[in-house]
Amino acid sequence: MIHFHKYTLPNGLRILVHVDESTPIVAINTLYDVGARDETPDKTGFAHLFEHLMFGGSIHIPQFDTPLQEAGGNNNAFTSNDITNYYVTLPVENVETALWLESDRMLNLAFSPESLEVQRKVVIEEFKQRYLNQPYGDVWLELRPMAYKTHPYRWATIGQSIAHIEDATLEDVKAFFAAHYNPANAILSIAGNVDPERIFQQVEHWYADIPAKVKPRRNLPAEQPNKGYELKTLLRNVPQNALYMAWSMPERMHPDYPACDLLSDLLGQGKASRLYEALVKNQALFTSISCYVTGSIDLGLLVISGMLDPQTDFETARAAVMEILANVRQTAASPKELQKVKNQFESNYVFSQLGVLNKAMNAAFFELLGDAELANTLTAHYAAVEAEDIHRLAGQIFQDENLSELRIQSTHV
Amino acid sequence: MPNRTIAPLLAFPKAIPELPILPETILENLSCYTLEGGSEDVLKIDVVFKAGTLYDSYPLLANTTLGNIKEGTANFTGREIAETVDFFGSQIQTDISYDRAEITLVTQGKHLVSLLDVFTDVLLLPVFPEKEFAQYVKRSKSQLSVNLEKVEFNCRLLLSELMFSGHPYREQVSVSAYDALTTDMLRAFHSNHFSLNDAYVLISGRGTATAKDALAAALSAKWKAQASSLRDTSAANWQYSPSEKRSRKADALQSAIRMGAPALSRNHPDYPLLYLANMALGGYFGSRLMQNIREDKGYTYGIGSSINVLEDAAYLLISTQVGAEVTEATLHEIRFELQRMQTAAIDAAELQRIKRYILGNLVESFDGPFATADRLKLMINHRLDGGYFSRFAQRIPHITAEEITAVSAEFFNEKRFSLAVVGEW
Repeated sequence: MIHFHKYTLPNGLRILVHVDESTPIVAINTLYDVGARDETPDKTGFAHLFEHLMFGGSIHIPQFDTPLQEAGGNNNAFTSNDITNYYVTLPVENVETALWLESDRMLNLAFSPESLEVQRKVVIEEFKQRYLNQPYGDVWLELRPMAYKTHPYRWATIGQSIAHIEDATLEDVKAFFAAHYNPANAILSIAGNVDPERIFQQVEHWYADIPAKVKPRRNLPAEQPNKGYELKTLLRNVPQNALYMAWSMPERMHPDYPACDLLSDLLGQGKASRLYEALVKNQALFTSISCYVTGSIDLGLLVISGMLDPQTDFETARAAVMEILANVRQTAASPKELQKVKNQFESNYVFSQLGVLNKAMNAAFFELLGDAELANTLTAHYAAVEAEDIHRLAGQIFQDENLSELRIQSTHV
Repeated sequence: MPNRTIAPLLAFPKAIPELPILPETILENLSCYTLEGGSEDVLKIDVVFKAGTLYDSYPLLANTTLGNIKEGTANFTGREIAETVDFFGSQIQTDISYDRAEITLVTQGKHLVSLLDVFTDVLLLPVFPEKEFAQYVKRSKSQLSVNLEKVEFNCRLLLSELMFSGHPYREQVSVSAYDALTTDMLRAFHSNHFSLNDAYVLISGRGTATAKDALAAALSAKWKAQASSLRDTSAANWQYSPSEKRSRKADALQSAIRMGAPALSRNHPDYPLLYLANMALGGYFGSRLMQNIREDKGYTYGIGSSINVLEDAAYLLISTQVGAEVTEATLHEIRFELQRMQTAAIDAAELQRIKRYILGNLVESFDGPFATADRLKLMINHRLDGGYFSRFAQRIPHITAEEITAVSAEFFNEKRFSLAVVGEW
C-alpha cells in the first residue's frame, strides 16, 4: 500500500504527500494538465517549447537551475501529448528551496525574449537530433496523422514541423501560460521523509497566494474509430525495411483498457511472446518485433512495429502478422498465458514504483486520471481480466478499418 | 505573503556513510555481497565476470558470447528459458562494459525460488546452439547497420580509434566481424572469462540473506571446479598521442563531436580536484559548456563532459551533437571554455554551487539498495576501500579555486585532446 495524504488549497492546487522514512531524498513532482493535445493546429510543438521556457527564469527568480544546484538538487521535465510534468529531487533538508522555485514559476514567468530565442534554437536542434537525423526517427511524425484525423493526437509533441517552432512569438508564450499554468490546472506531489502537516504548511506558505484562475475547459474533437484502412510507404535512406501497424483502441480510463494492455503484452512483450516467438525465432521473417499500447488519455493506439529480415517482402511480413492476429481473435489465451501477462504486469508495476521520484510522479498522474488511490488498485483491475475479455477485444481492435499501416522502404534493399 | 526574493536557507546534505565491503564466501571461493533494504519485495542478483570487451581476441567476441548466453543450456532450451522468465514477470539482463560483463536476475522476491534453476543454468551451463547463434548474428548485423547510420555512433568509434589504437580498450565493430565468429569461439571464451573463479555476486533488495543461501544451494548442485585463464590484456606497446580525424556523412543535419584526453583514475589523490573541475566544465546542466553552447548560443540540444574511469585507464570525454552549420563555431567555444578553466580562477559562487551540487548528488547515488549496489560494484571493480566515498565527500568542501586552475592547466590543455567529428562542416 502506498498511502497519500491529500490536500487542496483554496486556489485549486491539489497536493499529494507520501511519507517514506527510508530515504534522504525528497521528490517534488508538478504535473500540469496541458499537453500537445491542447495546441491549435497552426501552433504545434508549443507545450513542449513552453516546457523549455519554464527554466528561463520566473517573476522573482532570474534562474531556476542555479539555486537548485546549490541545494544539491536535480530536475528535469517532459511533455507528452497529454501532460507537462516537472520534477525535482534533492536532499530532504532543502525541500523548501524546491517549493520556492516551483511556486514562483507557477505564479508567473519572467518572459525574457532572449530565453525564447535561445530555446527556440535548442528545440530545433532537439527536433533534428531525435526525429530527423536518426534512422526511422520521423516514423511518429508520419504515423500520427494517419491514425488520427480530427483529434490533436495527430501531431507529435515536438510539433508538426520546425516552422511552427520558428514562428512562435512571445505573445503566444504569454497566452499559453495564462491559459494553462495555474494552481487549479496543476497537481503537486511530494514523496520523501517529510512530516505531512509540516510540509503542507510549507506548501501553503509558498502557494496559497497564487491567484486562482478558472481551470481551462478542454473541448477536443472526438476521434472516431473505424476511420478506414490507410497504407503509406515512404522511401528512406535506412538499412532495413520496417513495418508499423497502428490500430485504434480504447482510452486510458476505459474499463477495457487493462485487457487491451494485456493483449499487447501477450503479443509482444518478451521473447516468449507470440509475435517474437513465431516471426523472429521460428519463421525468421523479422529481425525484431514489438507490440505496445500508447496509453494516451483519449483514444489510444495499439502498435506493432518490426524490422524486416532482408529476405522478407512487405506483403509476406504483413500476412504473417495478420495470421498471428487471426489466431488471437479465434482462440482465447490459455490460463497459463493469461497468468504470464498478469505476472509481467504486476512485476513491471512494482518496479515502476521504486524510489520516491517514481512514486511521486505516478501518484500525480493517477490523480489526474481520477484518483491517486489507483496506485493501490491498478493491479486488481488487471488481475480481474479474463481470457474472454482479451479474445473479445482482439476481435474488436484488429479490424482493417481500424488500421494505419506505415512501411519504411529502404533505399538499400 | 511569502518574501519570494529571498531564497530559503540551505543545509549541507548529510555525510556519506562508509560502505563496509565484507563479502561472504559461497561455493568454494566465490565472494557474495549483500545489500538489504527497500520498501518493495524486489530482488536483484548481479553476477559480475571479468568478461568485458577488453578481453576480445576477435572483435565482438565478448559481446556475442554474452548475447547468446540465454539461448540454450544443458537443461533448458532458449525457449524454455524465455518462457520461465517471462511467466514470472522477471528478467535475466545482461550488460557489458570494457572491463566486466554482468548477468543479472531481477525479480519480485516471491518468485525467486521458481527461477533459480534456470538462472544458474544460464550462469554455468550455456551450450551456444548453432541455430540460435545464426539468428543472433543476423539480428545483430541488422541492429549494427542501423547504428552505423547514426553520426554519434560513428563518432564514438572514431574517437576510440584515435585514442586507443593498439590498446585492448579500442572499440572495433563492423558488420563483417560477425562472420569470423563461431560457437566454438564462444564456448572457449565462456569457459575462460565467464568462470566463477574470477567472478563475484552482489544481491540487493529485500530478503537478501535467504536469497544468498538459495543461490548458493542451486549453484553448488551444478558447479564443478574448472581451470580457466584470462586473456592477457597488457598494453605494453600502446602510447597515447593526440590526433584529429573528421568523417563526412552526406546530408547530415547535425555533426557529432567528441574530444578525449587522458585523465586520472579514482585512486589518484587528485581525482576529487579533476572531478570538480570536470563538473564545472561540462558535468552538469549549469556547467560552462552547457551554459555557453546550449543556453547562450542554442547550438545543441545537449553537451557534456565526463571522466570515464576504466579499470586500467581513464579519459576525459567531451561530447555533443550540433547543427551542421555551427560545427566550427562549437569547436571554437569548446576550446574557449577549456582555455578559460586553465587561466581564470573559478569564482567563489560557482565553486560553492558545484560543491553543494556534488554532495547532494552523492547522497542521491546512495538512495536505496539498487543505487547503493551500483556504488558498491564500482568500489569492488576499482579496488576502492569502504571509506572511499565518505573521504571523497569530506574532501570536496576544502577544494580551492587555485587547485582547480592548477588541475585544469594540466588536464584541459587542448594539445592533449584527440578530436573526432562525424557529419557535415
